[in-house]
Amino acid sequence: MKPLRPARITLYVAVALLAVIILYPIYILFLVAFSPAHFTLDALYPPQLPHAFTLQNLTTALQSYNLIDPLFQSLQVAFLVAFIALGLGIPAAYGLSRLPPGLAYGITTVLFVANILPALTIVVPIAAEFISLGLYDTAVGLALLQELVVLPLAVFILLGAFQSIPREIEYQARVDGAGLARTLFGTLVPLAKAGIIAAFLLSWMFSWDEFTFAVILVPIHPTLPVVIYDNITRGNLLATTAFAIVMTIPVILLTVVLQKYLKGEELAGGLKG
Amino acid sequence: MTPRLELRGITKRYGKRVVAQDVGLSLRAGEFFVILGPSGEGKSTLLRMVAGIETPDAGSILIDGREVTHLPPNKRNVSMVFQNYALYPNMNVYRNIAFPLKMQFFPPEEIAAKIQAIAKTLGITDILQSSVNRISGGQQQRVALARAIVRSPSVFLLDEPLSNLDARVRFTARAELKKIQQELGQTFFYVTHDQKEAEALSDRTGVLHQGRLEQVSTFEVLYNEPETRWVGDFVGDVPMNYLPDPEGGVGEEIGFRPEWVVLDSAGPRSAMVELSENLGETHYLVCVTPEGKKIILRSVVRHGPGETVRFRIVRAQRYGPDGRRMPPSPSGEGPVEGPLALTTKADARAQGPPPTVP
Repeated sequence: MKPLRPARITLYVAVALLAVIILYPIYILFLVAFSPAHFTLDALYPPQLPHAFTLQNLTTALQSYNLIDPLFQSLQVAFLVAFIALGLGIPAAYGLSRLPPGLAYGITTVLFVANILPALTIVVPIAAEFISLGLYDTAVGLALLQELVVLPLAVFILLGAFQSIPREIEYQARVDGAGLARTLFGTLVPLAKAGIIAAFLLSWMFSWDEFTFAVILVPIHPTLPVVIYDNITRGNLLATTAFAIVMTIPVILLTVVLQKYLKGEELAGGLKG
Repeated sequence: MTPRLELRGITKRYGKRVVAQDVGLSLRAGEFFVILGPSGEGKSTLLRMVAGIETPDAGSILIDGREVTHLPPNKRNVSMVFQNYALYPNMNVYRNIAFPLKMQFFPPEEIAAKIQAIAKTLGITDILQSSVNRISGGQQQRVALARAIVRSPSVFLLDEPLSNLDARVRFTARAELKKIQQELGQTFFYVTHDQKEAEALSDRTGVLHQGRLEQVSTFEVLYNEPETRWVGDFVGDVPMNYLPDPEGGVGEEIGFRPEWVVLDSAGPRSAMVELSENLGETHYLVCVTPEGKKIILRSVVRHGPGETVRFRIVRAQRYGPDGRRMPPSPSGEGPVEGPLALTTKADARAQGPPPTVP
């Protein structure tokens, strides 16, 4: 093995520290979830290493609480949010990418107004309005509300993706006989794939653990974060860990499935000059 | 016969910058037409207006007699090769070439047959399944060309398609392009800043300067009878020489190319050599005339700086004060200061083989 240079060593140390900071809470989560309570929550000095393994906590939680409905509600809202973000974000970003870059980023900045305001300021009047519109306590209503925050981010990411595609590709497709829709979806969208997947993941994950909007707008059919909050306030910590694990698994799955598209390899080359 | 492509009074401005000013053109079917001009003076914009990517501020564009000025690109029946080739990076070579055919809803068997034929013509059969990112610049250029000619549009638009190739490949690609155009008998509208390409490829060349068409003619006429001094300076390896016209009025000058001059010790004119540049078999002599004008002469013999050479002009054009060409002087065109033949043997040696006056 070749000797490590000092720069390398500091890099590895930094990475290791970061990994510990990020992974330690997840480790504790799994420790509490799969250990008998007298080793963890009921112990005065809980050990840091697992001493016994049990599925009792999970089965009890799943049997005594309704987990399925919040899970489906969360999934429904997250996918709605992600698809609406792409459905509106792709045409918007494509249009913006055809403007001079300065103007395009100016407009995108204006879109972030909803992000600047405190979430609670926005959610109360909208929730009141949604009651009369019949959108209160519905997945669609919550998805639309979350779009306020998600859509500007999605547009920002997609704008970068579309701007990185040379203008000539689009012209070429038009000259080759493609109409506007075919040009956009047949040539530009495939080339912006990495950006589109990044926007999808980000939108989905934002919605997945969004709390402020959800707790006010969907109290009767809550999403997972709201259910977890409820259980924490009631002191059901073991059930909370079960829910937290259920909530973590889809995120990991989605990231693993989609991350191979995020390398952007197919974007390189193909053009000269 | 209706022209294949016709431009009428095309005008286009970007803010204050004029990129096309009342451009009028007419291309015959089967013609190889080259737009020649310096970079950034509106050549590509003109091509893009024909393609439908840009819209002119005024004027109209007709393809096969049909008004297309405001039609989108896909309704114009043109194909185009961009300078950077604009190959679709997400498709392989085969699917790139198939794209325009698919847009016209050709059946798959016909697409396959057409692509095989075109690939054979251009020698790209063995890379059809390759990714467009993994092939050389020369191959990319062929693929872009194949994609343009695989269907039969009214006009082919080519925007400096050879400028990204290295010099060697460019030379063969140029010959190949001309051959393909002749075989297809199709109309090519080609933009370049390289006059060698215009000379080698074009049936006719239009010189574009600051959005104006200065002259439209064969390259030979461009070289020998430049309509404006600007064309005379732009076309040719070296700018045209100008000296006051002894027969003309104020501001009138004669313009002549280095090879329209015979070095002759008995010649009526003299100039002092300032600089001598050796280019292959000939030396270009940068000289100053007694009037203080800089001219460039040609010689097979080396003349060092400070030497005085005598010469006579055997052929010239006349230019008015506005820089435009004037009709030949009453004495007629042709030799203005004696015949091409040389007077003494020594001069013949100094001049070398008689210049080939085109």
